[in-house]
Amino acid sequence: MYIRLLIILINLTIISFPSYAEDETTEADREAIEFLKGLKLEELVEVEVTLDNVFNVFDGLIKARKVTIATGKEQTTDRAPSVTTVITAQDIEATGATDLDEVLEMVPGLHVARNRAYNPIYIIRGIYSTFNPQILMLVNGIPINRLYFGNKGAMWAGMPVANIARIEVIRGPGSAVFGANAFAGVINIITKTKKDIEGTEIGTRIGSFNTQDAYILHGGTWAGFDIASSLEYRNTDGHNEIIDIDAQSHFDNQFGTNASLAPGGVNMQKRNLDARLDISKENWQLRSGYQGRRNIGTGAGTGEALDPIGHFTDDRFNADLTYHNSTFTENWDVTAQLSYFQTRYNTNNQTIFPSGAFGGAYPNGMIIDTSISERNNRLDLSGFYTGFKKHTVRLGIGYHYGEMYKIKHYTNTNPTTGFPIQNLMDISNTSYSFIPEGSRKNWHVFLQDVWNLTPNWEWTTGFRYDNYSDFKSTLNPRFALSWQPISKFSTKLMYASAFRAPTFSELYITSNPVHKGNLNLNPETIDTWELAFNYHVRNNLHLATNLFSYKWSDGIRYVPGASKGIFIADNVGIQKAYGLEFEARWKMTKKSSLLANYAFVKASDENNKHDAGNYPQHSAYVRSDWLLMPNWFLDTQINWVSERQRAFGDSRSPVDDYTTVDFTLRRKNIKKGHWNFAVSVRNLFDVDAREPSQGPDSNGVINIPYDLPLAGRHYWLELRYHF
Amino acid sequence: MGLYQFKIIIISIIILLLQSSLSYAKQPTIREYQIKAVFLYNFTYFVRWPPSVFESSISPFRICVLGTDPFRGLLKLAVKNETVDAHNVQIQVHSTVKNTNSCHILFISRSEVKNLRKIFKYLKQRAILTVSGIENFARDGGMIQFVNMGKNIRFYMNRRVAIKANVRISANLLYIARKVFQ
Repeated sequence: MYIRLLIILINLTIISFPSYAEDETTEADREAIEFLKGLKLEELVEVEVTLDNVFNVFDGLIKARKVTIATGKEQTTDRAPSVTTVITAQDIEATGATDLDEVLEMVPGLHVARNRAYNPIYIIRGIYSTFNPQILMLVNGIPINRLYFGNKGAMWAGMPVANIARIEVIRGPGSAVFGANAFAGVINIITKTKKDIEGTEIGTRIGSFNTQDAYILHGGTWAGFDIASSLEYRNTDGHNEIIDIDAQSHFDNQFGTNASLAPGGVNMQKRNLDARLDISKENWQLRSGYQGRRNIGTGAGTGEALDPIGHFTDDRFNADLTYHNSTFTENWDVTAQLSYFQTRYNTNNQTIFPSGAFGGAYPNGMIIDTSISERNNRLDLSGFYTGFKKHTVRLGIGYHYGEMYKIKHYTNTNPTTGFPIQNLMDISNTSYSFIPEGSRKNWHVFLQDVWNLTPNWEWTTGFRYDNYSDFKSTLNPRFALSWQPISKFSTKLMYASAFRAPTFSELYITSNPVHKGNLNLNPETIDTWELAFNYHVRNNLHLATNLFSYKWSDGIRYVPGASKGIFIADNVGIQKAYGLEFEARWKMTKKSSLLANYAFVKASDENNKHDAGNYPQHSAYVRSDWLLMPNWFLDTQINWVSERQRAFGDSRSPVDDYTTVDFTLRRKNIKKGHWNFAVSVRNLFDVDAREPSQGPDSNGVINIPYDLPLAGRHYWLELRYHF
Repeated sequence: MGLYQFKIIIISIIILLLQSSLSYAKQPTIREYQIKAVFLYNFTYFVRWPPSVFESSISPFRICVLGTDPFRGLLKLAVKNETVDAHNVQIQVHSTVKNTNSCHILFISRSEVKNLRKIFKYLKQRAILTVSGIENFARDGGMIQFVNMGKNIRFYMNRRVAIKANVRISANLLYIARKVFQ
């Protein structure tokens, strides 16, 4: 026996370095194969099979999930030196999510709140801010954060999901790899390539709020190139939940007028077009895309006064050329990437206060229209070196040039006198314009080493240095020690620092009567400790949990300036927090699975010794998938959001907790020429769910006191066809 | 938490529990590559290789995958504790055909569709049973081609290619094949 083993071993080493497939099989596989091996060949050809890559959420849920976001190299989520979550196209389809916001709600410890424009605020671990620049948003690894507010765009208007292959999320810091804004978390959206689509898929959806969606995906080869292309369209009126009292209601009380449109519905309409093209051959990949947003509603109003007249447009164009060669030389795996990202937004008749405001001084309402264009050029070079024994070294260097230009500003208030005027006046390129043009140059260099101390122990060290033309340079380290004593269990201890770049609005806004920028701002910083555990209890049950604590320093806040009523941006905020996240993935039977997660966080505003406010201290998410009949799937989601305290100075009682339930029923047969049909009901119990509105303004007034209502019960119906 | 919310949570939990208790299965759901893995092993009962393909009486029987492995461990499961004429069974995955000389069964993954001509040329007259799901595989010079017919997995065979390569296929297997290229 031993001799035989020895010979096998020798054979293994001599013959041509075969690679061994990673074992991803499950108990169901074992049972199926046992069953099949009991059959005769002539019986085997009669066995009915479910084709692979079918909508098998049950196995998909518990299979080892792999991420590249943590280090740049693909590794299992267990060993990656960050706390990560992966969401696949299968998860998106199963849960019936039609927009990125709905997808992200399933990430443990991530909650999607809303600001006054109803733009999403991705809160991770209690890090809440109106414009949300503390999250780095990537599409195929390339940042889409903007210079003006540092976020994904003030006129975001959602992102469709049909062309998303997977989403990788880091909960926690990532500046040692990604640089600026990888602060509370990093969200990388990876779009579909040829092999994710294979053929042509069309889909259409109709739903509540007069929503119409349509998309077409195509993946194939053309003249030796792999091609993936997508076109997605959405037109919706959006929900119009009622705002009872808005900013104008308070002025009406003060001036004895009756101008406010409250109680009235929020304005959530939009018309979106997303087009992407991905062409690749061997080591080269060329990607480009256009995302157009038209007729974007103003949400609860830019001035927190309902504005059904104003609407926004936003255009984005992206392109990148990427060269990746995993065997550049024997020990080098290299990537070079040149990328371009351009955006432009316009507001049209943005009515800050409605017609009749200020005793009728503005017959058409007080209007301010603005527009900003931005363009970003990036060059990134990076490589893995595997020539040292037991070490994988990654190093990289990159340059970013960002520019904010073509800034327009129109107003119907005379900037010198402060009195209303009849027509809109163009004050672009004057000293009254809300912000001057500007640019930013940034270069960076990073080094990372993964050291396999023993087969069970791994030590990761990483440093990234970022040099900026407009604020202080910054060095961000990270360290992680991971230990996997047995294949079922792993643990890791991590420390990292991260930074958030001051935005152009925080640096350069000068003409705003209340809020002034500050050219001497430093980046916000955060120091985070994390301890994580992964336990694969059985083949069909995985548990993961992590503890964290952080200190957020140099938070940029507007503080009272020298003259009364003026607030200046300054690095004064300090927030400390601790908490935990827990996740269970359980394949209960061959035809059902359950995913549950729970997150707790306690964040405190250290300046005021008060709860940081607006974030949920407890949140939980439960999802079950169930194969009712062959090809019929039912997915249930329950989302619980709880304990949202108010921030310092906001005396309102805490925001009410809510629990929403969604059902999605899908009939699916993935064979070519088959229909895929689904129907979904969201917020089944028509719960009155609300997200916190802004606290008191500089005069102590809470413009929208009863918070921002979310959509009630709504439905959609979907048809897809793959050929 | 209000009473209403509490009710919602309770109702939801009941729904979840109902779902899980109702879902049971008498027969396992069979997936494409589970059955293909079992087929690959079963072919060994119906095929004879020349004795020269084994280095010794205790050298292993090798089932290899060329290209991206669609089985992901399923083949290993299928051959667990099995032997072929007293040879232990070994599973290998190769990225180039030049490393497959010692294989007895070679499954050619869909990822190799572009290299098929080169692969056939290299394998010509080597005593390796070639199997694939690639379209027209059996017609163009492969030995066994899996074909998805509705919900069943069937196969086509090319007897001529097998004979040339000195791989003997039993009549019973030829009988079950949906199409045989002579």
